Amino acid sequence: MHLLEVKNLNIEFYDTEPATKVVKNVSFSMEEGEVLGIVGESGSGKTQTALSILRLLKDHAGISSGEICFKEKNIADCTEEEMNQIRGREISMIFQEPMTSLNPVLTVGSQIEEALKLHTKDDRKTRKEKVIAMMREVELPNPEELYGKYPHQLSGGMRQRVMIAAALVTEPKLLIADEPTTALDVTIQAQILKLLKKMNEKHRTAILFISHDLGVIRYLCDRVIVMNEGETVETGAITDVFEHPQEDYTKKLLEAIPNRRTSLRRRRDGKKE
Amino acid sequence: MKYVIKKIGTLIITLLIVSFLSFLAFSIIPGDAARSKLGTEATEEQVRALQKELGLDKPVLVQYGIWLKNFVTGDMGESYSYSMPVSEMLKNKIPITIALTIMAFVIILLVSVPVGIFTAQHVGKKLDHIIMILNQVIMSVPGFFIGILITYIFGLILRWFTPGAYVSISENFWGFLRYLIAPAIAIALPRCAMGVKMLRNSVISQMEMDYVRTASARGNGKQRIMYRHVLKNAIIPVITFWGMTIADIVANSIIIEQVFTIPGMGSLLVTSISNRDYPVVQGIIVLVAALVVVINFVVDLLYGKIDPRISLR
Amino acid sequence: MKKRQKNYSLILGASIAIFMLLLLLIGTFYTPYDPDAMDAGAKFAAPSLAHIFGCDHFGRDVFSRVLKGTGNTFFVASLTILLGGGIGILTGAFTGYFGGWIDEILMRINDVVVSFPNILLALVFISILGPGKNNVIFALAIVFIPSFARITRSEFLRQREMDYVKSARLMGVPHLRIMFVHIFPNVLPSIFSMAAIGFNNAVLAEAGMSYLGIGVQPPDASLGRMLSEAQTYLMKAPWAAVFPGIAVILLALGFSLLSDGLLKKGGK
Repeated sequence: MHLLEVKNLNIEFYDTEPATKVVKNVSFSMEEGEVLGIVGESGSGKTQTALSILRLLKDHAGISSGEICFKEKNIADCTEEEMNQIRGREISMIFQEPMTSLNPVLTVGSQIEEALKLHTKDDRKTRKEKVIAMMREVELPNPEELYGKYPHQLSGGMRQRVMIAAALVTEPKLLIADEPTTALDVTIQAQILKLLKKMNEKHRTAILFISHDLGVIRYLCDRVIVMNEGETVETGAITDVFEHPQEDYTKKLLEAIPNRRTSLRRRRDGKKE
Repeated sequence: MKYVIKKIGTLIITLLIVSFLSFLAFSIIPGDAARSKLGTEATEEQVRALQKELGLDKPVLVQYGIWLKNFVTGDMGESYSYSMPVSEMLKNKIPITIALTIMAFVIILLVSVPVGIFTAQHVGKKLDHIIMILNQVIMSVPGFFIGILITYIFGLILRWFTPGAYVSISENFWGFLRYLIAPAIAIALPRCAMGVKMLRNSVISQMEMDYVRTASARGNGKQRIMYRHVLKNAIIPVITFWGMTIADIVANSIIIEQVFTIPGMGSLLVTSISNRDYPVVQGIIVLVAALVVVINFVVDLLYGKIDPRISLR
Repeated sequence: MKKRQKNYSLILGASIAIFMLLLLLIGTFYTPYDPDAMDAGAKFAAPSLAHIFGCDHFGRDVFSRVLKGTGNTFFVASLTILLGGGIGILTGAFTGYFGGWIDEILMRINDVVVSFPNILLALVFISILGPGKNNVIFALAIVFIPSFARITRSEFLRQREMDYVKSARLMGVPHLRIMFVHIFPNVLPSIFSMAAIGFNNAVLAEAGMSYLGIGVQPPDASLGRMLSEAQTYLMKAPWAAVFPGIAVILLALGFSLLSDGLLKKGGK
């Protein structure tokens, strides 16, 4: 049984005449505990694919055909209430901008706690204990003190840790991470990636990791899907795609990584000698 | 705490500036109070004596100091036309204006908040369009015309109340409040419309924010997103509007009191302006101005309470 | 790539405004009756073919008076906006462009003044200057200066930092030319919108003051005063109140829609 299965997914934007296809016939599946990367440039449809899994597409966008099944259940058949039971409980999501993705007028603690409030019958005390434990796990300093602080009092890296804590506090089966490190400094980026890897290994949480950065994907993911202009270009195990890219587009993408390009050139030059 | 102290400082300075300007406007610019009090028949001797008595021969700042001290202790001078202490004249009028203001403001909150939220939740639907068109029209209707329409329809034709039959507080408290309902509605309606528009736009722009997407990804239902996440953010810019609305109600009650022949501060101000009875005009204007400044202060404090980002700055 | 939505506010606002302008243009040259002529026989006459809006308590033709009154209200509101807006825009442009301590002080004063209700400030000036049409224009104009100054200032402040201004300055274009030839056209949309909403406020304020009897003085017809006179005879001649009221509403509504429409247009 697949944890997640996406079959021939097509997504369109209806606010143009005629409608624009932003995702075309995308299919993939994920197993429990697996880390799958989707890589592509901005506008390649990777974010729309991710949003459609939680049915969070904006009003002007919609799935025109295809199926998304989570634990064999087609999410298109779910009512909005059933969907809300999946969101934050079975599948969580974190976003690119940790600054704006947190509610500015609610405390950090209450935002991490919210998923527990919505999805469990825990009492107030248990909830708070779980929140503090989770904050410890994502390596937030002084959890007790941080609990009552507001997002603007935290650094960007800490905010993303809060986002991760809020997403994982219910121990979901799948975490969708939409460019979670893009807005962060490189050093913080590495810390967050390490944290995600740790959480994946410890809790067997599957991660669907979306990024335009191949280096990040390579570090974290088991398998990768390369997307371009809404279509799947190439898909395979991470080492296969990186070492033996089959498609021109993938090769071009790989060459666009600065250090990768130099290493390729060096290898090519070496062969000539 | 620092924020509160800073705001109290601003409050005091603004009060001083506003009171000084009103003092200049009404005690200095209109000309010699002694002369206007005594009339054209008075001799130079008499005028000079009264000037001395009133302290008009002293420097402006000293005069201002004396005036301010008197004003704060409740001595607002004496009316030219009625030869009565201004404070005495205002004493009975202030509760009327306050009652009217509170009623109108409560109506505005009770109507504009639910309607604003409703329209924001139904953007683009037919009912939203209808409400917003109606809204735009009501915003352009002067309050006193609404007052006249209410008088005509509900007073003269349906006879729900008797126009002009004002009941004073001392006579019958509930009757007094009952009579104020119609004028309160007349003042409130155009401002309800503005309130709906403000809140609607604010909620709509908040709904676009990233944190709303986070909240829905967490499994929040539509209603919970609105009431737990969006509303608190959306209210922040609207608070300023509400503060200005209170001041606006007080100012517009001047006109509405005329429509419903309520003997409040407004009617007194209008007659005093026509009679050039400066001490009365000054008393009322300074009181209202002080009220406006204090409301702004309260709004600032509320901001600090609701928006955690402000108290730190 | 957004679908083009029709700007109904702009279309409707412009139509109403143009309609009212046409009416008052006609009113300045021709009214069916002399607006001040009293006809004892037509006292409280209901609307009919002869008097389409009916007659008031003196037997004056309401339609003719509404035409004249609209003209007066429009005249007061326009002059107010021209005067107050002109001074406000100039102040805002200079303080926004040059900044400095004068800007600091003026804006602090502005903040205080803007929080006071229009009507109240206007009444302060009227009580010093005395009632009358010219004094109302003057008082309202002063009252409107701060809001114009504020908008213009923030626009100039924003534009000042833009590349086109910086490059113009590098090329040695004089400040005044940068302000009024380079920047000014870019801030026009927000100034137009501000003027339209200011006009709406001015109409309502003028009507309110005339209603109180301290605005336009008789024998000049004014919508506000017509309303206050008609109120006494509301039972006998409701039309004498309804039609001037509608005229005020249309005049205000037209320009507030226009402002809305201009804002929407500028936003895209």
